[in-house]
Amino acid sequence: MSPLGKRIFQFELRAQLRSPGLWAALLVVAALLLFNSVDSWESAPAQLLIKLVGGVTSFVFLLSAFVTLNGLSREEREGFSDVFYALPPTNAAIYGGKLAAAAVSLSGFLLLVLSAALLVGPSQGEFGLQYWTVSGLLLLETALAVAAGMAVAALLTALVTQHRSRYVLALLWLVGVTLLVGLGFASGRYEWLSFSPLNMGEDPYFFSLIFGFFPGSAGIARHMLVQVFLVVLLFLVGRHRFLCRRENVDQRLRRLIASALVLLVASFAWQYAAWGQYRATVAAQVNYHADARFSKADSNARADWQSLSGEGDLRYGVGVAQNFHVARYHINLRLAHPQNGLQAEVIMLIEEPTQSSLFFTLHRTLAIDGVAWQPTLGESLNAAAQSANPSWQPIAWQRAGDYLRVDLPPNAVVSPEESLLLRITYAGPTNDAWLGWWGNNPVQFVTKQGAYLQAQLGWYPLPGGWRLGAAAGVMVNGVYKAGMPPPQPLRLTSPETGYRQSEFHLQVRTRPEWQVIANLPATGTIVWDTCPSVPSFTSS
Amino acid sequence: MHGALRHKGRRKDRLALTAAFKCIFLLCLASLRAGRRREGLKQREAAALAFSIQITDLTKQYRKGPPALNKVNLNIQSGMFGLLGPNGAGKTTLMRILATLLQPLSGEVYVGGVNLADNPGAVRAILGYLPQDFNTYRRLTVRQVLDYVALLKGLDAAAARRQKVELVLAQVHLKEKRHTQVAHLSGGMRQRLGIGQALLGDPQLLIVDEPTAGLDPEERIRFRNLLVEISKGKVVLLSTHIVGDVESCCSRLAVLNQGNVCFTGSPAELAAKARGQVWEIAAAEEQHTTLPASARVIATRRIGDTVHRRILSPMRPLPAALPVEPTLEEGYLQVVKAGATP
Ligand SMILES: Nc1ncnc2c1ncn2[C@@H]1O[C@H](COP(=O)(O)OP(=O)(O)OP(=O)(O)O)[C@@H](O)[C@H]1O
Ligand SMILES: [Mg+2]
Repeated sequence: MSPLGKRIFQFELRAQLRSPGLWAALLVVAALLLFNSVDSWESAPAQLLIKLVGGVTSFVFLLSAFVTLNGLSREEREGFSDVFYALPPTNAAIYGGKLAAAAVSLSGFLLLVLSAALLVGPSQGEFGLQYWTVSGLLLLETALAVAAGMAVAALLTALVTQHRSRYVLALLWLVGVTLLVGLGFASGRYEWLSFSPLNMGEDPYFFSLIFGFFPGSAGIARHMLVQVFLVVLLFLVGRHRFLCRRENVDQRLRRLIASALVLLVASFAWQYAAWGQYRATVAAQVNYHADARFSKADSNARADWQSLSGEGDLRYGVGVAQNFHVARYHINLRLAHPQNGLQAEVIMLIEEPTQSSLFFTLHRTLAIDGVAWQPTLGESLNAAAQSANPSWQPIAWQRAGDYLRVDLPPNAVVSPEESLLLRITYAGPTNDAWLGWWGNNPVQFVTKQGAYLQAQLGWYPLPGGWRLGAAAGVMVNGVYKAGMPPPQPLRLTSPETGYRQSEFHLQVRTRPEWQVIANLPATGTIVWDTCPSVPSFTSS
Repeated sequence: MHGALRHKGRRKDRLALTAAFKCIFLLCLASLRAGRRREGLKQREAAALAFSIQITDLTKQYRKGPPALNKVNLNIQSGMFGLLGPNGAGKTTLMRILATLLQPLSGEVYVGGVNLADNPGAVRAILGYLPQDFNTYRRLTVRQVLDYVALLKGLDAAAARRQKVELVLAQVHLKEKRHTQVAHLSGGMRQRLGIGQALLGDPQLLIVDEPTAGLDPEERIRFRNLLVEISKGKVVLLSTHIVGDVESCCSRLAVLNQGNVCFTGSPAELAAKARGQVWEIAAAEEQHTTLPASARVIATRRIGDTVHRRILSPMRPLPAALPVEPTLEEGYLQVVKAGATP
């Protein structure tokens, strides 16, 4: 920096540090971090950090733009610009100094993110490589959000003479970027996310960071690359506009702009190609919307909630108290069939069925094929689990939204110390399911390399009535890492239910190279059976 | 097999990443170097400036309306140069162009042989500028503002800077207000602060746009004397509506009207423009006379019971009118009138 640039930098830094705007911005971000942490403190540390920071970057972007604009337009606001711009410092010194001061004062955002990282991990006992990788990436992401905000501010200062309109336009810029991201999500064109600096907490990157799914760290790097070139391009175009106004434009600057543009297009094309590959392979196969089973799911929902409702309070996530205990699950699962996303046969060993109606929670997009029962009569569950066993007797059931009621025949209601076997077969989409205007709610998240089964999303029948997924605000709670020992219990505990843990036997049949992750109770034993050729189910 | 393929893909990714980062690095380096080279050039050229301003065919057109400056030609030598003209004549426009704040549509300006368009930095390095409505950082004190401007004008040494700021504070009579926030100054004091910041750094080219607006008579006289004192060997360009300011201190002046220069010369020459066209009529107060349409009353003076009226008219307006020696103001009015009619 030239000596005059340094003078301006020092003056600006002092002015920024004195301005209440900067402190308000830092306070807003600190408050947001705190607010997000209250919301999802129970998540595993790395995910919690992503949630904390991912929700904040859009504000960081906007506040950076505002703080930078505040510095850049100081002279205009004070009516000093005529004198100021007729002083010896060149444009480069003026804007270099001002932008450097803004960058230094905005590094407070980075300090906030860093302190969140230093607080969350150690306080939850996590020192792993993944955690620190995530922390580093989030710091980078925040830095990019700051840089993008500053670049937009610089560009707007160069293009717009009215200093008040610049703030409005910066806000509109954020709205535009958000819309672009929304459109990208809605149409499955994730490459559009790269134009926003704000997506580390969004599904593709989130699952990448936690499980190493597609697009993986390379996808994140490509996203950041697009961002870097975008930021460089915005700065260069801004500089070009300034020079056009007050000085002569250097031919070299034009060349720089052209090269930045080429690099931006190239990096975006790279990201586009990668996501295009994803669309052509995985997404095409798991796209389930046109499938007949989906309409069956609608027809399953024939009873309304009123006809099912018993006691219980929905506010605590409990619609219907469970009046029985599932001692053991035997889940036979088939994933990512070309036509059918998920097919399941679940046999449950039910203890103490003291009432004739059993309530379960099963995601609404999973359509039920049939429900059958048989008394255990001393047989082992494994022997009874042969689905061809002729002693299964079909029974009546009703569906309402995410809820399922099974009505046992009179002879099945037994004394508290006895038990029975219940078999439920169902199928449904494996990817996003349209749930009306409430948005998409995936039963599982499926990518190129595998599937992640989230118990909170009700992909198997949960005993009792629960609010699922986003509705319960537990979308990502209790998400665990690939390769970890079987996870801890579900976080579906509530004072009203004496929840007891079940034992799980899970058999997954899926494509050979797939990775499948589930967060089932610690007592479960999970059998990964990844056969290349999958024998199809026989439904009763 | 799978693993090997994946490994290869990763390496390709990494190669491309390194290449991209190299590109960014080179981009940054190139722009930094370009900036440094330009700055060095400007400083060298500034030193070579001699102090006269040559303006040829300068035209400025705002987005709406007629040209604000229309092929202006002026030659400004060192000393004080006055710019006169009615509202909207283009004085501020001309001064903003000279202060490198506006770009003309066409025409050329040479400041001491250096083309303004090619090298605005050289002009900024020797410039002191007071805009028509001066304002500055409201929350800073008078001293802080002057100190910052002095810094930006290259007064690096702290002691020398303090000394210079104190000198300027004394010159514009703001010593007692040095620790007052700008927001708490009166309009005239703020104007004096504006004059003060323009004087910092001993500018070789001082452009002051209506500097005496808002000053009380005492301050105005003080300022005029100050200007005369510092204008030796420098170019001082002064615009004003107060003809008296020009008369008392400018050796040369120009009259602008609707973007055209309608006069350049000394104050005496301007006054002479109205020679033979200024008349005086002395009459008793109650006496009422009708004047011809082309005549204009410029001044009315009452001495005892008689009212003396000075009249600008191409010919003798009344038989009783006596020709008198014109003042500068009358010359100015005559020139503006003549410039407006054709
Ligand atoms: N920013 C602008 N945009 C459009 N037109 C402008 C602008 N500034 C000045 N003008 C026009 O240019 C002409 C010259 O204006 P200028 O300010 O130079 O006059 P001036 O001689 O300084 O007047 P005054 O004595 O009132 O200060 C006027 O007609 C004015 O309307
Ligand atoms: Mg003016």
